[in-house]
Amino acid sequence: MKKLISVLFLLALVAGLTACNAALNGQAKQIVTPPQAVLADHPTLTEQEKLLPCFECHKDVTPEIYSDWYNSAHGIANVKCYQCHGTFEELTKVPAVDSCSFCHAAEMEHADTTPCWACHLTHKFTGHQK
Amino acid sequence: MSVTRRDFIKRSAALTAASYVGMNLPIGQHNVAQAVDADKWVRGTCRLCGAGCRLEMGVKNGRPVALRGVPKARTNYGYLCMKGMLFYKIMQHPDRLVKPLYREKKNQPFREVSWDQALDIAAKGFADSVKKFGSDSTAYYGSGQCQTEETYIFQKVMRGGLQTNNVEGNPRLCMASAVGGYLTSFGADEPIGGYDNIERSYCIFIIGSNMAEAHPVIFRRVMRRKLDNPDKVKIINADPRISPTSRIADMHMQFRPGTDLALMNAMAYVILEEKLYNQKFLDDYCVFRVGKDKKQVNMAAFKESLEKYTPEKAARTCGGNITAEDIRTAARWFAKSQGTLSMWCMGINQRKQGVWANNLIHNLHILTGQLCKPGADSLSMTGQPNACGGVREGGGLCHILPGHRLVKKEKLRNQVEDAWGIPRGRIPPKPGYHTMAMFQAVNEKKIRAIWINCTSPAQSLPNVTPYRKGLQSDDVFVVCTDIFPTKTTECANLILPTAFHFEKTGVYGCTERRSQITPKAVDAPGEAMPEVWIVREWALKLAKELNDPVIAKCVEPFLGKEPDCELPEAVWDEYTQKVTKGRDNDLRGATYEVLKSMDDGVQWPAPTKEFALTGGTVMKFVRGSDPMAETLAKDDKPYQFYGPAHADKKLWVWLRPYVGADEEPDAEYPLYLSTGRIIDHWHTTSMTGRVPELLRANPYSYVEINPKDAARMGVKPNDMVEIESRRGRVEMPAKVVEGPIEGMVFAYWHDMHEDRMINKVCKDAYDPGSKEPEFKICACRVRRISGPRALKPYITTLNG
Amino acid sequence: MPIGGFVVNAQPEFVNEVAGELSDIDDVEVYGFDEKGNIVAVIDSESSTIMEAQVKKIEGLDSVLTVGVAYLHAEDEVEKIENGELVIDNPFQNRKKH
Repeated sequence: MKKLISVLFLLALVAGLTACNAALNGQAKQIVTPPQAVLADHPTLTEQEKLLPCFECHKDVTPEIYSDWYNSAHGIANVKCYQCHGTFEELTKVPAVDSCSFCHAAEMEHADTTPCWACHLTHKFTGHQK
Repeated sequence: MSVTRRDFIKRSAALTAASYVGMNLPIGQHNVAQAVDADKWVRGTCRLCGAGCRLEMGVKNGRPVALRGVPKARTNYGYLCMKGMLFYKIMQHPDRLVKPLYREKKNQPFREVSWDQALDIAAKGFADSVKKFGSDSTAYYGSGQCQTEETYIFQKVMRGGLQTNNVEGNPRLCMASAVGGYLTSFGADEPIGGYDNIERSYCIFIIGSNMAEAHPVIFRRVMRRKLDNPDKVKIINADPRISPTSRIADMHMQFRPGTDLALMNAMAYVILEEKLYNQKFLDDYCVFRVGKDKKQVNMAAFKESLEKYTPEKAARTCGGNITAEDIRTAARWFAKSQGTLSMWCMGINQRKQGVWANNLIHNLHILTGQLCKPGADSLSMTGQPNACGGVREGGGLCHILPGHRLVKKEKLRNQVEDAWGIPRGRIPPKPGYHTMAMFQAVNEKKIRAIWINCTSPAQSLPNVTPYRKGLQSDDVFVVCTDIFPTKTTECANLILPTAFHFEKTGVYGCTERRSQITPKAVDAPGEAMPEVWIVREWALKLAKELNDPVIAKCVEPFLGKEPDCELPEAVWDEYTQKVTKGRDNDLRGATYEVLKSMDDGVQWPAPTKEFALTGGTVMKFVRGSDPMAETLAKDDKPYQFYGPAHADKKLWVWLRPYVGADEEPDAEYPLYLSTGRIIDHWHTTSMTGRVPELLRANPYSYVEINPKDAARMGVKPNDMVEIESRRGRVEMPAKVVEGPIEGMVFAYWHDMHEDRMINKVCKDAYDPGSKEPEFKICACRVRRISGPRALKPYITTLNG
Repeated sequence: MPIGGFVVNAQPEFVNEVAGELSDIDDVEVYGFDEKGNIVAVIDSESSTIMEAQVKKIEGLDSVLTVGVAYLHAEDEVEKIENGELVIDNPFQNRKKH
């Protein structure tokens, strides 16, 4: 029972914190809750489309990013989009760095204060950005 | 750089918020996964392929919450693929089997029973079968995913207790031809070297392996080697299909399926013609042999046997995408590099000529002396985490006892009987049914009780339909031990829920002879129990049912042991200390204590603890690296090929002619069909299909069709097509892609949907030596049935 | 003591000022902002009631359009509830109208 209460409490807290803003300013409906923030920018996908790998479309809509990735070590080694950016429901534009440390725990030792892509070219991760 | 917990949480809060709006925050995000809120990190091995990647599981409040690579491990150096990153998510999956389930007849629903009842039922089922139909009416079918302790104790009870050698496992479907190849060419099973050679190699010959998807973390090492040394290192990829592995290749040799024997004989022809062989190595260590009676011949006879395989002729045989000059170039790269490493997998092994294909790869290495030196090795990649280990070395196949001992040799049987303290003559001299014969025997009602552990033959056998019918019959009593419902639990009378990886303790041996321990980190859900406990309790009941004290004797050393840690350790100790002693896989130094202290594990042979603590034998047969090369030395040469299968202690170069596939295309079935894996899924998807991210990434099977064939058949991308062979038909969407060679289609085999299960179409012909089936080649026809159709991923549930 | 990660949307032309105002509120830390008007802020407060009050306060600022929670850590409060140290009234009271 106590567990249930605490779960309810957490839910209510989140609901409360987001619900208050909805009321604010009447017309400002763009509530920034977790997944919707990025999804709001992403075209809606059908259930069937969600079963396609990201790059099927991104080859065409973001060809530069696709080709940076495809020709990178990540691309060659089949480290796919969702491994860093999450699947559709939990899509993030900028991944949490902890998704890097699955594999790059050792490499992360030299970067105390900056995320990998602050120095290494985004999506290519070769060499350093100017 | 110490961060308090609150700071850490605040930082996570900020980073999460920032990630939703695509903002880069200039704050330290260092080691976030490391800092993930775990109570403890437990070091073990990934179980989703044979690479042997080491990882740590984060546990919080007794639940798995995260995984991370172990940077110091000599297998993966910290890297993981997405299967490895995500597999902890299935441990708490709602589909987990948590109670023993039973039904008398296979058309009834399952009902829950207690463990005591379940083990009684299992014991009675097997005992009845023995009483009515004899010992050989019972069988065990295990898996390369079982821990060594599990395979060992199961086969001990079957052979020593029930007195049958009907002990098999799914490695027969993937590794048997490699075993045959190593034994006949080198005199000893398992590779001479290991991954360590990747970074020292100058030519890497990949054949019949899409390692970019099947072994992504090992592929990363190959890729790094190439990308870091683009001019010095040559990569040859030989495969009928252009795959993601081809992307790092200097040369892709695309041959017609089944013609690889001609291709490799032609490379040998060039090596002889251009005198690229290593005469000293041949003089010191090799002989040439031919035929069933292993007749020794000289090099001239070998050369003569290759006359049919001039590069020009072979190029024609191989189907036109390869030129004679390609073959010459490949042979030169192979022979002349400072260290050449071959790597292969199912494309070579799952063949009617699988052993011969293995032999021909080894031939190239023996001829050129590309063995036993840095960067040189003939390395068969393993598909499962403990095929190379537990099953091959632990006695998991019908013809071999633990410690690489042949069943048919009385002396070796007696060694095992003595070690177990059971009467001599207890282990029958006749090898049991190999896998395909075993399921044939189920069909023919010769086997009346079968225990299927941790694998799903009802989906994974080739030409699966008739074998499924056999398993579904009420004439055979089927016990399944597993963690999830599968196509095979659908055929079971009794389902026993088992503890998963990290829910019990045990050892896996990966591709490179490396034994690595995974200790228990979390409790298994519900009433799931470790297999070693299940076998022990079952054997005790079996002894009573059959009134046979020797069955109880088989588990006597393990009585009273706590099942999660003590019991497997006692089994491991018996196996390593008593049974591997003095054998070529001597593991006496690799105790639990030693294994637990290692970031990775121990490569056998490792006869002493001191040696095991160094990591063991990096290069077998080489003095200074392999301690047994000293103790078993027969002369003062630097390499000692002491393997048990070659009395002359030599490497054998084999004269093997080119023979094609069992079923070649014809007018009726004009295309080759081959099958394979994709990176996101493993085997039958009973595990990876239950990780939403992985299922989403490849929700169902596709068939890849060459654009020229597609144009001819009027097939457009994503059209639904029917693939039909003489055995069965399936329907799946088409991918039109420059992958398979013209005249061949390639289907992914992971899908468990009835309409898309490609193993219904595959052929069950098998290699006469290794008994491994030819999954990789059969003849089929393909027909467009409709435009794109909405498909749903499918994972089986308990009641189908 | 709950910790929350928030995205505050300000009118882009005033994002600098809003970020400054936020920093002046007790328990609020600004981690970054961008030209689109997104501000990432973390609130680390005594209790969830206080956090709600602070969110209200932020919402009341001129030029703030929305406040959204992206991350919430309230483990210690949950523990307190479970231990009985903290008694929460019906968490849904007063919220029915939303």
